[in-house]
Amino acid sequence: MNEELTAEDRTILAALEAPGEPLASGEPSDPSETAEMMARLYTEVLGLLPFELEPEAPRSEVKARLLAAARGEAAPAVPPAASEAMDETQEVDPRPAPLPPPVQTSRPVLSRERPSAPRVAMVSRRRSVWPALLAASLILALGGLSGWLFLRQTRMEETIARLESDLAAERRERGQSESAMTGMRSAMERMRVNFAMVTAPAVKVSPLRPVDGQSPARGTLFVAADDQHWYLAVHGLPPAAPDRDYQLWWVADEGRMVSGGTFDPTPGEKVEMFSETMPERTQDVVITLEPEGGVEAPTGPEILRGAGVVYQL
Amino acid sequence: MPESGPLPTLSGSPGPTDAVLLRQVLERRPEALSELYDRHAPTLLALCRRILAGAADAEEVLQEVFLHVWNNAGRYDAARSSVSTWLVLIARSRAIDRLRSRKVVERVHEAAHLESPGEHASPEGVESVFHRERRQRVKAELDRLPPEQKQVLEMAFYEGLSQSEIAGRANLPLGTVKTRTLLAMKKLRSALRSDIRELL
Repeated sequence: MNEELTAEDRTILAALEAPGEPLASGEPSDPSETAEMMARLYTEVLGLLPFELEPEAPRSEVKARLLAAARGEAAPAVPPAASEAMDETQEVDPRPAPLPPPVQTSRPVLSRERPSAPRVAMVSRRRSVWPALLAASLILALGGLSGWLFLRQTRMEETIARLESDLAAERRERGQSESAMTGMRSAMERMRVNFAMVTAPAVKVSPLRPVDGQSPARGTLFVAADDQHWYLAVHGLPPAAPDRDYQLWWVADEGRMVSGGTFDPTPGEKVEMFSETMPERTQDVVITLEPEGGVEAPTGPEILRGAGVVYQL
Repeated sequence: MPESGPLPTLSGSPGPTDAVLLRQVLERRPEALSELYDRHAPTLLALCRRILAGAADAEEVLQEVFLHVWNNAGRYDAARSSVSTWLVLIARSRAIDRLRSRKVVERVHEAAHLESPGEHASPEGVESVFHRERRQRVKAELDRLPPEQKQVLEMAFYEGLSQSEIAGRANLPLGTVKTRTLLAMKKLRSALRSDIRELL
């Protein structure tokens, strides 16, 4: 049932179980105008319930006693109603002190009937104690309030710090995602260009063969019609030794060797390289095994070399 | 309840509204307290007697209620309830407190048997036409409720029992008690909307 309670239901139950004062609002966590109106409506329903009862006029003495108290007069003693027979419980009656008895000035006051002095003293002591109690209560209340405010502020600061941390993490993640997205877009664009290039009718294709004639490695170089854009795919190369890299070389005119970059293949995966430029009058392409990071001029053994045959697609 | 213009009062004649009277009480004017008392004391006494099962000390509770009003009129918040409902809630709370703290149930049952009905004025003598009509409407709507709904509502309102206490006493599942209470309150809210509107 509790899980199914609506805000209205909770308002009703709160109104029924509220103490003497009307409910402030529907729910502490929902001080909206609607909730306050809801609480008000059901409070008024409760206020109407006693109208079902037959009204009863109190005895006139009750009003007289009340008004005497309101005027600060001594109230006339109200004799109990016929049904209000005194019983033993009245001696330990916890009710508020009854109104003072009527002052009887015409009657001579006996000395044994004058307990007024000690009562005054008692009242005086009470008056001196109450301000101190009130002050102590106020101090306690202020202390409690300060502590509560401090705790609340600390919690809010912790919450803010946590939210800022979460926000920073979110921003980092977003930055990484955007970076990855940019990389993917770039890769897709390159793939699109490469695909367009290798499928273009004017592209030239040059196969790469192992120099030793035994390696299973193979390569294919695609060169666009502008002799600048190129795309190289190599497969079957074993990973290089830890201090070694494969290096691509362009063999330009007069045998000049121009580096095209280094790479280290992943076992079982094809190596793809591409660029928008290549040296002018390139005659051939060679792949060598060089020290890690590459060198300015080839020093290692040639692994693959262009076959020297160019196919026009 | 608007504070200007004559409105029906307990006596059935135009006069200052309850809110105006309460403001005058705040200014320490006993005649305003007297007027407020005349208007509401009969209903509040009936409420106290109902809660205290006809207890003889209902009049004492009634006096406490109006002394509380005299000393705490400034605590009334017009945004939360009408003056009439404020008084009802104070009286209900005081009477239930008395019922609980003094455990008077058995004692006052005995007193109720001794009480003669002629001690208090008849309803005709204390009730205005306005309040009589309201009483008839409220009573009719309460009688229209299914008995099981009326029972849980009365246990909650007049005996001050929580929903769990009602469930225990009536030997019902808590969910059933809540459902009945909520249905009863919602029906009354709808059926008594014209009276509620007058109180707002």
